[in-house]
Amino acid sequence: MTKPDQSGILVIVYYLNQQQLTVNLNFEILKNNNFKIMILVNLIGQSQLHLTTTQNHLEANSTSDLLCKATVDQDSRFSYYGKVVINKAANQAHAYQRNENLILDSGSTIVSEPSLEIKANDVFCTHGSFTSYLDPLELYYLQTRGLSLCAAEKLLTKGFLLSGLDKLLIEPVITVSRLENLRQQVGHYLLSNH
Amino acid sequence: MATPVSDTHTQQWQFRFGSQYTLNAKKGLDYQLIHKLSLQKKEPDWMLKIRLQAYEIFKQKKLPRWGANLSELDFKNIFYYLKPHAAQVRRWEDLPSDIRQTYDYLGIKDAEKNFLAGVSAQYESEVLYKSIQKNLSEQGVIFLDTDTALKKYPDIFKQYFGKLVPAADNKFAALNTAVWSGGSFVYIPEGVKVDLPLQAYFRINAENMGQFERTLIIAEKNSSVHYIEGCSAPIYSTASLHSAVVEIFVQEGAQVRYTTIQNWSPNVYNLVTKRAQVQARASMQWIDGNLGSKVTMKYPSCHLVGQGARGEVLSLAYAANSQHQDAGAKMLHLADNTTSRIISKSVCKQGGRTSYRGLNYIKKGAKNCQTKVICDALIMDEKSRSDTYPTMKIDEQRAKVEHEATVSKVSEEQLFYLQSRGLTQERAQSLIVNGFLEPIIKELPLEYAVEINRLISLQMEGSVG
Repeated sequence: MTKPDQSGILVIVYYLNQQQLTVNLNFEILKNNNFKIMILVNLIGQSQLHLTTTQNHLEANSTSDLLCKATVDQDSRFSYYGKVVINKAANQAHAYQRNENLILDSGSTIVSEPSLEIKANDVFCTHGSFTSYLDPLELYYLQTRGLSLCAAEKLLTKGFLLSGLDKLLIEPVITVSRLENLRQQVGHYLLSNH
Repeated sequence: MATPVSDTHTQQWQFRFGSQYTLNAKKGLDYQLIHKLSLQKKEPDWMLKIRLQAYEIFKQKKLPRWGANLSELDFKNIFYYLKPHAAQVRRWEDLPSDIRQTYDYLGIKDAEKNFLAGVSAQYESEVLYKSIQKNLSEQGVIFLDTDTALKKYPDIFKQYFGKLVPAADNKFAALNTAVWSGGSFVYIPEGVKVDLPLQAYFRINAENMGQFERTLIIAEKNSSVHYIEGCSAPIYSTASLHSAVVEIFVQEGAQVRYTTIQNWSPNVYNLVTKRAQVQARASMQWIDGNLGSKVTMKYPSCHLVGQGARGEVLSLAYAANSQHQDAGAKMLHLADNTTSRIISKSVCKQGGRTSYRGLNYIKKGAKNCQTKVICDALIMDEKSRSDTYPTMKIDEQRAKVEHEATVSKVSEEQLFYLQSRGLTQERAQSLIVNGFLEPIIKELPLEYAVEINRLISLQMEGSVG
């Protein structure tokens, strides 16, 4: 539950190994709220995650920025339904939503459905979705530097997932050391089995 | 120079001429009407059978639970077939005066003279005027109304009809298959490139009219064609229905561009299924302009079935005064190395609503496919609404799928700058909106582009404040 004039950063991490999960996250954004939400997902072992997020702007001068990054491997499936709703009373609202996905094997699948419903006119709202695979050129380069293929894949996957956290550095409450701690904790949790 | 689109957006909706009909079926749809229709057209038995099967499917299928509000559409209050009192002619002068006046007003005749390779003009349920340049006929290009094509080329017709959009596809495809009448049949032989566009114009004149044209385009290997369709209707207080089906087969190496400028009056429900099948190294481009109608639900799609096939949709939607343009595109990547691009631009004002609805699908095994969607919307006032509902479904690892969308109002900074350069606020807003729509408008034939720029400018007057 949020209150007006609040700001905050939320980092949510999902690591699934041979598991299935359905999650529904609903964020009600009120007057002068400014929230950054970062969701990091790593699925392996035929896991399935159905994730629905809703950024519901109810009042004026509200800002939300959601980034969801996911990697799927070993015949896993990630379904993302991201909704941004700007209600009539929410003028001067700014809403951002981005979903980035990496498919690591031929058996995995991604479904991405970001949506916007804008009922006020004095707003700015944008969303994006990008899905791809590890760049063969980058893998090749790392191997020329002495890494095995497996190590190169692990490095790039880790970089993909954790790069989202770097964006938090511009926030006043985040110091370099806090960010480094966060990267280590998240990295260890997300990628311990790789 | 006369243009195929009238002076202003709404003038087309104000004029109508009284017309007479030789076959005036009662409102509503039943088996008897379908039999009567098929008999009137002297169709083969297999087509009647297809119609009757489709009618069964139509009765069973429900309305979609997503999209625009169709609850007020009363199927019992529609004329499903009206035959005007005129036979098909090859000269404008041979048309009855009331019908000729309609097309003169719309500028179709002048357009044919100035920049088209062929023209087809449909009035209510029948195509009344058809022409094609002689040199194209000599090269084997066929441009006929669909009814005539069924009689003259039954083998080709049977090979392609209903193969891309079967009756069971959706409720309105079933309805169209049951009562289709008119539309265009275009066949381009191998290697033939048609330089000037072929145009069809569809006019609804009667109240409570339903128009169900069926268009079939076949472009053989390494051929190319540009087909343009325009449509309009006079405004009534009761609803009309336009439910067309378009099937396009683009063979290896061929190029097809299909341009639609839809300007139905705001009592028309415009519910259309358009689909193209694109073979290896071929390209299909849909240019979709949605300016009119009460409700439009239209999602031109490309099935990219051959290696290296390309699909593109450029969609423009304008909604005002409680109109709802629910438009978009679908790209199905079913083979390796296929690419697609969807660009959607929409503007809504005075209570209008624009919705983008799209699907990008990469089939498992379709390697190295790339697709990109760019979707931008402008909301001009607080009464209007904009939605975006894209779906990306990726079943293949080696694929790149991108989607981005932005919704905003006209930038205050841009307005301020232009006014500081001496423009009025209205002119500044008009300039910005035209610039916003420019990526789509520049792909239209020049005459249409000029006309659309002009009507946008006219519409922007009175938008400020």
